[in-house]
Amino acid sequence: MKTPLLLFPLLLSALAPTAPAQLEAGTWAPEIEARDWLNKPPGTSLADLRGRVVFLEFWATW
Amino acid sequence: MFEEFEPQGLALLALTDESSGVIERFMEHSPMPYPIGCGDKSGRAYGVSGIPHAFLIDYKGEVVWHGHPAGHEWVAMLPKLLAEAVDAGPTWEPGDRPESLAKAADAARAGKMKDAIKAAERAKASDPSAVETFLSDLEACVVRRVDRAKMLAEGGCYYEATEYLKLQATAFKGTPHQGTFDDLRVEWVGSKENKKLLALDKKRMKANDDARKGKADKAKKALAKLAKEVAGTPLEQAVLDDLDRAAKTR
Repeated sequence: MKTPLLLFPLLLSALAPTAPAQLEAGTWAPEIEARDWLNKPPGTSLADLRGRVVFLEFWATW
Repeated sequence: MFEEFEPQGLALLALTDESSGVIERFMEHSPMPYPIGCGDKSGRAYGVSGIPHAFLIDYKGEVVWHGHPAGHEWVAMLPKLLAEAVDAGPTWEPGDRPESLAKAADAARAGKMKDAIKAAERAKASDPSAVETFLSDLEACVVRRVDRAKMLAEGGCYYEATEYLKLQATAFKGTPHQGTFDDLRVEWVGSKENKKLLALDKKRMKANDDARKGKADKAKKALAKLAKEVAGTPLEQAVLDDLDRAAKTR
């Protein structure tokens, strides 16, 4: 029996790792995991910064 | 913008999964003034699919907003969040004060209220009205903090409330306000009917700590169990809210 060609992309997308859902407001912030820091951070983990308001920006040079 | 909010306590961090070598080369032609964590692996936990994407986290460690940083909706949220963070802690941010009160303001920012009051009293001769304003603002800060403790207690959160009073009593040690915080705490700890709520609320705080440390499942179980124990007590709503938060956290 031949697998209908149309099903092929579906199969592929089912096998691909799904991107995790967007984190919503109202949850605890996951701990951050940077290997090294530039420009003197005020703290290198959220645990360090507990008690302070933190603005966290995910960013890249590309 | 960050120049304005950083002195008020905002911590700004940029994160990238790129290596520090790549970022350093990039910064040779485009300097970046703020701290950058390189080789970061937490983008997945945050569910980041497009960049730039920013998260605003309150003093408790809860995500209160996320979105495109250039949108600036988060800026409107900052004053309230920053004020809340200061009142939850042992320090006081007196804002802009005349030069004569610089020492007093610095001591307040360091959470040394006795030194702050002393330094303010010393400035009285040169600038009586500014000192009066400073001291009455500090009084207002004490009132706000007492109210905060009372609000926590009304919600059954006696452990959180008494720990908070301890923190404030230490910050205001040696001032007439120390007694305000200590008396309230002694009253609450000494009351028989509060004993049980204190112990139960301690469990709630422990579960929240676990949830913050990435043990959301453990926290969820503990809070679900606790929800049954606190049913019908003033603590019930706080436990249900925390259970909801732990359930949403992954």
